[in-house]
Amino acid sequence: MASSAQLTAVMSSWMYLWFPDMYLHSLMTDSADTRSPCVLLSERQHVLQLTDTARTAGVQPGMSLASALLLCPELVIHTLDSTYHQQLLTQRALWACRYSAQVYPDSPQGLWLEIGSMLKLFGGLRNYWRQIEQECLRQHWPVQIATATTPLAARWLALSDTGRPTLQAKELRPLIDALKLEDLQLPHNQLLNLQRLGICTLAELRRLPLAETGRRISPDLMHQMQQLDGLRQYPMTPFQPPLTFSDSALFSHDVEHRNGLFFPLSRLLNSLSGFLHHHQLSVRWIDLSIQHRDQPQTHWQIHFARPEYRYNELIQLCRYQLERQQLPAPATALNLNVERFCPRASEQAELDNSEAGHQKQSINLLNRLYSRLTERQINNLQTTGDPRPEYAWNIATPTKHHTDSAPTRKGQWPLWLLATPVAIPEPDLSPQTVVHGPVRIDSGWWEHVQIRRDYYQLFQHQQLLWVFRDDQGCWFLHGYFS
Amino acid sequence: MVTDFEVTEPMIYAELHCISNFSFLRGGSHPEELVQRAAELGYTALALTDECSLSGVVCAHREIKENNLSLKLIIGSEFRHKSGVYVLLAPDRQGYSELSQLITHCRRNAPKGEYIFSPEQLLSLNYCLLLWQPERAYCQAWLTQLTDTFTDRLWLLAEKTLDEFDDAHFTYIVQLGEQTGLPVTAASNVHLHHPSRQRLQDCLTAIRLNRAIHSIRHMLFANSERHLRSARKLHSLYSRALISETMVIARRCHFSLDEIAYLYPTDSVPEEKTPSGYLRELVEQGQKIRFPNGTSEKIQQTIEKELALIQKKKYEHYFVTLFDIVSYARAQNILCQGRGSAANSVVCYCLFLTEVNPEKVQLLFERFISEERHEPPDIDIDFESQRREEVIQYIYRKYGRERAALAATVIRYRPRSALRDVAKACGLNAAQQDQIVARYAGRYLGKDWMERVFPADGSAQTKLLRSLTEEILGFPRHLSQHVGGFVISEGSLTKLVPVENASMAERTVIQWDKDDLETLGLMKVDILGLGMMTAIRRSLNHLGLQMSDIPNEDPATYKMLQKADSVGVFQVESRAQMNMLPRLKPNCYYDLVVQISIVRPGPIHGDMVHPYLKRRNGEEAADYPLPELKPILERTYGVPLFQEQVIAFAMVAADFTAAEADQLRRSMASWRRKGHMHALRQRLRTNMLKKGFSEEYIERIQRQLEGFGEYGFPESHAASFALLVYITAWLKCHHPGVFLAALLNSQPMGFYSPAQLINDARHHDVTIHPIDINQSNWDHSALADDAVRLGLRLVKGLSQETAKLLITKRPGNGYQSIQECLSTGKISKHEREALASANAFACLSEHRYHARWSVSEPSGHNYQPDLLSALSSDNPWPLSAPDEVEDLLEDFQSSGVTLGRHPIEILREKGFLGDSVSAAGLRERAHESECYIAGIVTCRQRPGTASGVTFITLEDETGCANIVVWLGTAKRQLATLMHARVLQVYGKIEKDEKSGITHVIAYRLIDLSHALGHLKTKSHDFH
Repeated sequence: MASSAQLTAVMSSWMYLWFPDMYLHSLMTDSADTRSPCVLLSERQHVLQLTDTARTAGVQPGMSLASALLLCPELVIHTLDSTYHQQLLTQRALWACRYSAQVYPDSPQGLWLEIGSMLKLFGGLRNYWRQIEQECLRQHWPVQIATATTPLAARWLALSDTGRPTLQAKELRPLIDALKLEDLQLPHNQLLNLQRLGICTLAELRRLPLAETGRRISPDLMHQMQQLDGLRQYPMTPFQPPLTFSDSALFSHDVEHRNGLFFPLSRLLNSLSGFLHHHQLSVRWIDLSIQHRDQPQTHWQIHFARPEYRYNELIQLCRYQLERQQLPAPATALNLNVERFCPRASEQAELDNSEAGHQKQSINLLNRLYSRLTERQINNLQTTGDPRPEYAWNIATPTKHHTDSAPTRKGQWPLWLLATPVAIPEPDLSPQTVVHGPVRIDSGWWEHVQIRRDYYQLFQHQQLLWVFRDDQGCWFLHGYFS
Repeated sequence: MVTDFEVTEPMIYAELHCISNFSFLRGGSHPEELVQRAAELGYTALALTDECSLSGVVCAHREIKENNLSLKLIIGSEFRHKSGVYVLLAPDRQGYSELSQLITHCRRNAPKGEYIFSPEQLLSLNYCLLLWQPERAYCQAWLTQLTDTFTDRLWLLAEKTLDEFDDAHFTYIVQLGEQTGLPVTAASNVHLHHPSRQRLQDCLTAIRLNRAIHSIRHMLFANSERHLRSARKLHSLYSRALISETMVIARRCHFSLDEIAYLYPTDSVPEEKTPSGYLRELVEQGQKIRFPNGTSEKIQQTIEKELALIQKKKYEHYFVTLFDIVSYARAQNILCQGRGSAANSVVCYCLFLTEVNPEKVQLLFERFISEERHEPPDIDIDFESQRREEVIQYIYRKYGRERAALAATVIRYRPRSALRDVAKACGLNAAQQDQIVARYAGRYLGKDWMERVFPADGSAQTKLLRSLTEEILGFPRHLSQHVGGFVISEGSLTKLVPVENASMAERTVIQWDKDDLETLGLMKVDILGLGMMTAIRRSLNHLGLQMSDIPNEDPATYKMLQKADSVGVFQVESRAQMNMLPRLKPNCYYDLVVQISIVRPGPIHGDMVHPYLKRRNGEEAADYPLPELKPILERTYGVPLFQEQVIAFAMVAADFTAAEADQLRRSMASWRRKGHMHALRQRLRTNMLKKGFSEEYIERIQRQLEGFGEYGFPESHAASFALLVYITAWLKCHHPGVFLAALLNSQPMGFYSPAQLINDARHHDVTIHPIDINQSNWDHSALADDAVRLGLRLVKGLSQETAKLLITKRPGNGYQSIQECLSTGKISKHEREALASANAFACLSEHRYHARWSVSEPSGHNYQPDLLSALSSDNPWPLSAPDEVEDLLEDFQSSGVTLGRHPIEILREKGFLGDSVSAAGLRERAHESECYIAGIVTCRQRPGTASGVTFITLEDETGCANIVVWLGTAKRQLATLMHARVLQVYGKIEKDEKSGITHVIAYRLIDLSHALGHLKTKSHDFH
């Protein structure tokens, strides 16, 4: 079998890096952290990863949080954030780009590096391996490394932590044959099925006819065995470094006034808008850098209140903001950079509803206001529905989604509420003056800010006042009705 | 500021709109608290008007009666609709029935826990009074319709709760009254008995909406005005006219729950016969079978006495109904037995309701039906659990859903659920909630759990959580169905009590629980399921015997029990019972009654166990605190053990009246919890002190009462259970094979897994034959000479349907090959593999690995043997055959049972256990010597009765050893204690020479769970 396989097998050189408990380790910033028992929880509150100290206390992967806490009450708990997890792997992949031109991320915590073309550069496999190992050590990244002539072989060897720095078939073969199936992260049912046939190692599995194994156990398993031997391609997606947009406009004559920038900027924004359309993205801000003849660059960051991608809006917004800027010196070039984008799907879905038109208008308005004012000058007023007048509204930044607002209580409250109630002498409570009341408000215990007040609307001095008596019997003015 | 917390002079006011916490997650007070507070404030009447529910009314009614409160309880209900709030009140019996039927209608048409109400339904009501609080957008036509229907029965309801809506709403309703000429009345929309409960009410609102409080602030009440307010305050809020109108309405409501005239179903009495004549006829027929040699005069006298009493109390229909149900079961060959106060009735024995022969067993207690009190007889009937549903369906068929429904069980907040819901309402996130609940950790905390969960030095937030948790504990959360309590009535049941849907399809429950039924004297028939009944019936069927054929008082049976050889025996197979058996050494039926009652929280908390054992063993003379107590305590040597004894004791020793004693019995469950029980407790103490009892003795009696509350098990129930103990013990003693097969076929039930039962049987020389495709049936079969052939039902993942197919098509001489076997029909790959791994093809293949490979062809329409494949079953297996450990692991994996060597024996042989002694070897060791012992953990228990102790049972090839782990050791080695499946213990041996009980006090625990895996490089998860 070996000879015929070699004829068709595609062999190349692969290194696999497996970062065990990558997520949890990334949270440990100093040595004190690693000493305290710590677990990473799945969204369903089960232990995914844990530190050695937690393991010593009896905590095990898969355990529920309740059991884990019973065993180890001082446990430090983190909950998995899958976006962050993805970002971590991206960071590692970026790092690995230094060592290979072809990096393939293997979610959630592994990387393939194509190394065939790199070995000469690094002075051979052993040096290459050592350098990677040392770099991981320096970064405090636990890692399991393996090399092999197929991606799957490298992966499996790394998972079972039995990799050696070799690419020689005769050295690799016994290592691969000795792999225990239970270390290979096979689907649970597949593993169980094999174990129940008495098959526990790859060598044992190889002794059964491959086609029959595929039929009786799983076609996937057969494919994997072929991938292991390079007889079938292993599906991998190459690492794409993160997206950035960068474009420049060089001026033939120095531009002395900001207005002179608008024309070249409009071209850059046009190509940005095209880029955003193409990738279905929006931007929250853009970075402009302006080159001067004898001065350091000037950096202007232009923010938008909402993600934007339309050319007309982009140019309008930039125009508003640039009107407030002065060029410190004549400009020789303008550079537009964008490194952070936001996906557009969510935004469009939002606009698809019946209020789409209205909402779009308000976004436009908000964006333009935002461009004119500084961020601190613009806020949303939100109702909370709190029975206590002081807590019935709060101020929200415009980025907070408007649905956080609760329905207003239908109370007869004045529009003009005093910031702090003003103590007043006991008022006249005759039926002629009391227009309405008392309304009793007795609430707020959950925040330990309980108020107990009786509110009255009083008509005095040609004014409709809002006054209350507190539980000490003291009177206060709290607002005016218009 | 108006304060209203002081109790004021009596006043003329009736609160007509009040919900309790039976309007689940809305009301903030118990019905009991509401009536107590209303009486304190001097209200004339209180209408309990829970939302589309009458669940809380009996609690309120009982509270008023037990405390002689001068408060009139009006029964009503609130319905919410967009056109306004409707409050219906029952003025009289007809009005009550109408209300009950309306609630039933609304509830039955909606999913469990909800209701669908449309105001048009009101138009069919002829008796109920209606208070309507209209929403502004009401329709003029609707008002006219209502006024026409409810002539002189309709009021507008105006309420001031001092919130922002008040002015508009209140004024609007008063004006509407003026415009239309409809009378207007006032109420307070009461949700709380006291304003201090507002916090809890806010919290309940958050729980109801499944959000945190701070995020639902707009849904909270602005103040705490929805409480029972003082006269002064009411007068400052409402005009005299409004207040006096409440009294007009209250005076028109004169219905009391005492009027509920419950009629027993008469269906089972033939038309031409009188109920008592027919009952006598049935008893006489039964007598001929029960006493074939004639009835003794003494028994005949008892029968006459009982029949006279039944006739006097008009309970004939009750007994005839029970007879009918039991006769149906007997006709279907469903084994059943009654227990409860009927257990000492000859009539019940003759009606086949019970099996305890009163001729052979001395009557144990006085009361079978209480002559003085209006209280129905208490009879529970246990049916085989596998067939109980047939009986339930029979009842529904016979009486119809109109007349038969299950009693409710009120599900209340317990520590865990209270902590979770309060934490969530207070805005803690999921992980924080888990952390708090985890701190509770149930079993490992004692009665001071509150202090442990919420440390005293905690933050304000901690204190808040704690006080809310304390308040919410015991609050009703929802209604569930009682395990088997049926209420059957002569007429429509819905006229008596609302019926609603249960979560199980085809089940309906009434809105009252068993205490409510008892309070009102309604008949409840408990149709309970008992797994052991199935095992007994299977054994008796196999042996061709009836329960009554089993010889009485067989010495060999008692001898076996005295050795604590009781695995599989009903009730006495638990670790605690096994500990007691050699101490108590039962040697007659009555000893068994004591045996099953003594290992219970009541006698244990009351420190009654040791005095009883001493006196029984003659180490101490029986002694009676008062001579009058001798008849009550004589049969237990002066030590009160049973619930009945303690209650009788209270009547004699503390001069309790019959009514007080009854109250005592009912309130035992809440002995500790409820504040108002304090009076009863105090009275018990004072009166006993007067009679010269020591403080210490009184304290013990009180603790015993508490214990009964946790798990009451009266003598009247023990008497019937003891019979089942005896029968199962006799079966185990004389027919261990038959009994084992029956137990295994009745799984899941009992204390032990099939593997443990089989192990025990093997120690009793029962031969076990393995699962075999050519020999096994679906069930386990008892063979001659105490042998058992394991059945295919043990194979995990094999359906009964497939197994039956394989058995039906099996040729006389068995299948000759796997191919032949599998060509019988469509058998899934999964099932084929399950059979192979369970080694069912052992007779047809090399070994189970090879068999599994042979059958693992992908599923087709039919099994097509693949003769061309490189490795069909004819070719030799290229890998190794399973070794002993692999076989063992596969056995456990595929069937949970191994017939090979015990895993501990293998570990011992391979040197994994060092010099650990075996369970059998333990008996040879000296008292107080130290040793290692290892075994599979078969039981891990932390009974509430033994403070801080965990009991572990370790099984090895020679039997079982008992390990005691004190709290300190447990805490130090919690992970090992909780998770080890194979455990080695180092500790000190403790031996009691008299009883022969030996156990090991653990010093150190060593987890050897992975040792089996290490035997092979291949490791499986071993369970």
